[in-house]
Amino acid sequence: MEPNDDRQLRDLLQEWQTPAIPASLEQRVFKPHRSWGFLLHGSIRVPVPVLYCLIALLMFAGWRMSVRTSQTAPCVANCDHTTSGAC
Amino acid sequence: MTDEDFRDTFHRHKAVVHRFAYRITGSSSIAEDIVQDCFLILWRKPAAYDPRRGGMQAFLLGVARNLVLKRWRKERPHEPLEDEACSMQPLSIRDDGRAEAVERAVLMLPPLQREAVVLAEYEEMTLEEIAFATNTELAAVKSRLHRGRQNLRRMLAPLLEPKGTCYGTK
Repeated sequence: MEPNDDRQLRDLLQEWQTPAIPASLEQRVFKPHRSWGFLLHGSIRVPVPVLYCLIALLMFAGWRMSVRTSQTAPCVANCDHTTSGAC
Repeated sequence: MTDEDFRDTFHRHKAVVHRFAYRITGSSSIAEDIVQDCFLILWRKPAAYDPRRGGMQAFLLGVARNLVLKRWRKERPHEPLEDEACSMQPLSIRDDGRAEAVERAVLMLPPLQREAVVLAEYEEMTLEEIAFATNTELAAVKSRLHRGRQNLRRMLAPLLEPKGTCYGTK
């Protein structure tokens, strides 16, 4: 087994150098936080039960709308334009 | 943490976090993303840093490490982070040079061995500092570092002078 302080291996490893840090990195970290950006690019995590509730609410609202529309819709078939003038 | 403290911390530690992220991921763009996320976490939750538990550098490296591993798990959910049985074969040294061979060898190590090697060999951190930064038991750090160095010796054997020891090439 090789000793842990293998000088030869260490010297060889040091030949791999990393690139310099780009100047843009500082701008990225210190750029002013724009809350409007969140509206375009942001994301939120929604728990699945909350998602189910939202879907159920939407379906219920849609059903209510459709019921209300069918109740208030004029009966075109029985409409007599000649007597009432309008439906 | 005041704005001035934050700027001071950024300028003092950005290089080490960037070096670490680059050597772990092998990608400049990912390393930049990691550095940015790392410092944004510090800015948003400065209380997460407890000076009694260790230095700022080890804390930031720990944050960067968690971000890297999160990315790794997302991209490769079925690949293990640590492969104890992993035994590397000597690299075929191409014309791309010694530095590139070292880069390839380090990036081929399993992630947990790689981080231990990078922190010990390149950042010259002690075993205790690595254990703190990686939130790992000291014995596990020693073991990963030992296996990582063994694997590097095997892979880089063509570039290392023989010292009467078989590196797996014979």
